[in-house]
Amino acid sequence: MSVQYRAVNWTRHKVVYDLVLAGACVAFVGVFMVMSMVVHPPPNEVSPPILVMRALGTLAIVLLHVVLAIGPLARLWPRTTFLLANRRHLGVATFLVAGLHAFVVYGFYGGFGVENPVLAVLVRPDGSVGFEFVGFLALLVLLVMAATSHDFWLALLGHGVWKAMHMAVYVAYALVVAHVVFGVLRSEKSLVFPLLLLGGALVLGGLHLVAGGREWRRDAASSDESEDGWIDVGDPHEIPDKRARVVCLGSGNRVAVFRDGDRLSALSNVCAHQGGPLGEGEILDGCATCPWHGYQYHTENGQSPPPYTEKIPTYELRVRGGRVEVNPRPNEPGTPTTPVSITEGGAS
Amino acid sequence: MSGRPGIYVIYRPLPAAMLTLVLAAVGALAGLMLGTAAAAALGQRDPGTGVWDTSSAITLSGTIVAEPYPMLLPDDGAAGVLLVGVGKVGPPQEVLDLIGSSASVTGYRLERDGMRMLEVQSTSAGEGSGGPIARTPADRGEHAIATEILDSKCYLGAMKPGSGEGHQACAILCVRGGIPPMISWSDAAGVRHYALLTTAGGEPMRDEDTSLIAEPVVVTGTLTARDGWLWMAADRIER
Ligand code: HEM
Ligand code: HEM
Ligand code: FES
Repeated sequence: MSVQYRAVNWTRHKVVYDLVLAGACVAFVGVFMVMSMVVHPPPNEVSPPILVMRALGTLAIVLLHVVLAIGPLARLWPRTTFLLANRRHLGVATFLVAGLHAFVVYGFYGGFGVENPVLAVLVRPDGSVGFEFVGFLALLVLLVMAATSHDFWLALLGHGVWKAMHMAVYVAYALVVAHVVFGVLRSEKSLVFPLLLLGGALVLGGLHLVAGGREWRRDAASSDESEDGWIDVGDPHEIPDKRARVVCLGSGNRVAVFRDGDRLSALSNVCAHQGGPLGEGEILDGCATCPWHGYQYHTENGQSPPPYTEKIPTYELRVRGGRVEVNPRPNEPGTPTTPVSITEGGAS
Repeated sequence: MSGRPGIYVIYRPLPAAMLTLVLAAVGALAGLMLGTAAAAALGQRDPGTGVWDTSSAITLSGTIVAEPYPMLLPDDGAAGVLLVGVGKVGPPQEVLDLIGSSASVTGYRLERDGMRMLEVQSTSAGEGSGGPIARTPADRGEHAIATEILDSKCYLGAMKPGSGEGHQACAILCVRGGIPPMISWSDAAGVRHYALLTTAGGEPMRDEDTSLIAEPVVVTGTLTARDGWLWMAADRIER
């Protein structure tokens, strides 16, 4: 397939994703504004700029929950990876909405006065800071993540550093929760706000625990070693055609054993793009295809089809006694291997 | 080769079998989001009845005083009308120049529970109508009031609810800019009262007290009734 083919269609999906996302954001602000005016109609209305600010702040924290939820969601139900494929835009949208919320705060709470609007919001005259400053710190974290979100930065920083930076999203989450607890819960007496916050935290915590626990059990379960150190993968017939089985090697690395018809080959489970779980993808066009953004690798050598140049490690396989085994020592990325046949080795 | 993927691949047509799942997931997420929007909107506290009528300016005639906050005492004998400027500032110089004189002030009305304020657009010296008006301050005694210090402009209607932690930065800015601070409390019978806040000596609130704005505080001092308002001359403001 050509570069153009990938580029054109990629854009189409992204456009649909972004349109749905933008539509949901507009609908969110609309519903918030309309419901607010329904419960508190004039003359008891909340001033419109404040409604807008509250709608945007609430939308930002909701988007943050969605961003945090779709990772474990896709791990638990691989068929929901379509939510993840454009997580970058979701992250950037979160940052933009939160930024807009802060902008409205600076404008209306900090503006029209005798001081610098930003300073007036962030620092009290006695030099102390309040919950707004906590929100500001959260926004800074989101800014760094959004600014370094492009694959260019991923390549520059390396996957490890970049992933570590992304873990800062949990710092941002904690800061945002503190921002709302100290800024809002003291004035708003309705139970709705603490219940929403608590519900969000429980859902996120639950998803992460369940997804993490499952991964951990899977890793712990699958390290049967033969006498010469090769690792048991299982009965090759149990691997669905065009799919993979993922096993954890003692080293903590994961390997994806793909079946293409009668042939088996093993690749690193870590996609060279953003570290997506390659083994949850499938073989398309004869290539293992990552479920996150569709990067592809020839199963027999771990190389992306031209013009792409990504390479991932391959592993040696053998079939003994009707079971597949993998050599836990990875080959250099892009090293060709000889696929083994399901029936190879026969019964020992 | 294998044409129809069973998984979602971003640059491929969506597998037909996945369409239902995508629609269901997107629908569920959107439903959750919009439900949260509605719930959060419904949870907001009632901001009260303040108005800020910027649709048409009104003109009031009376005498301008400043004891200490600039106020117009209307010729019709109604309660004093606070005078402030456009933005988070006290009234313009032309109002200050007319302190002690009669004047006509044109501006946008802010009003809550009968308390009135004008955001001054223009001022003209009056006809020198009636001389000093008879005013009889009534002493209402010493009180310790648990309250929150509000900025009167936002609270009367410029930015509702105009109270609470979320509004603190704005309220401090307003008071520092010359908007009169006020306090509000309910008595044993549940009746709501308001008083404009001054120092013990009747001066505008001190800068060092502004850090207590929008915090739960106890204000101790002397209450006086004058010009249709209650005034609190605060001896102490404590958290
Ligand atoms: C510079 C950064 C920020 C500033 C100055 C700021 C300021 C504020 C202020 C003043 C309020 C109180 C609004 C009110 O009067 O009700 C507020 C509420 C809120 N903020 Fe922020 N914020 C910032 C960043 C953020 C971020 C990054 C998020 C989330 C991702 C966020 C989420 C919220 C939420 C959910 C509320 C409650 C809205 C409501 O009252 O219903 N804020 N913020
Ligand atoms: C803006 C460009 C961004 C891109 C390209 C991007 C992409 C990614 C990718 C591929 C991962 C997976 C890393 C791994 O597990 O190895 C990740 C992790 C994560 N990112 Fe981002 N992200 C971006 C921005 C953001 C922003 C602004 C947020 C937060 C508002 C965010 C939230 C997350 C979260 C929650 C994870 C979860 C880690 C996990 O579940 O494994 N991302 N990001
Ligand atoms: S992580 Fe992006 S394609 Fe694999």
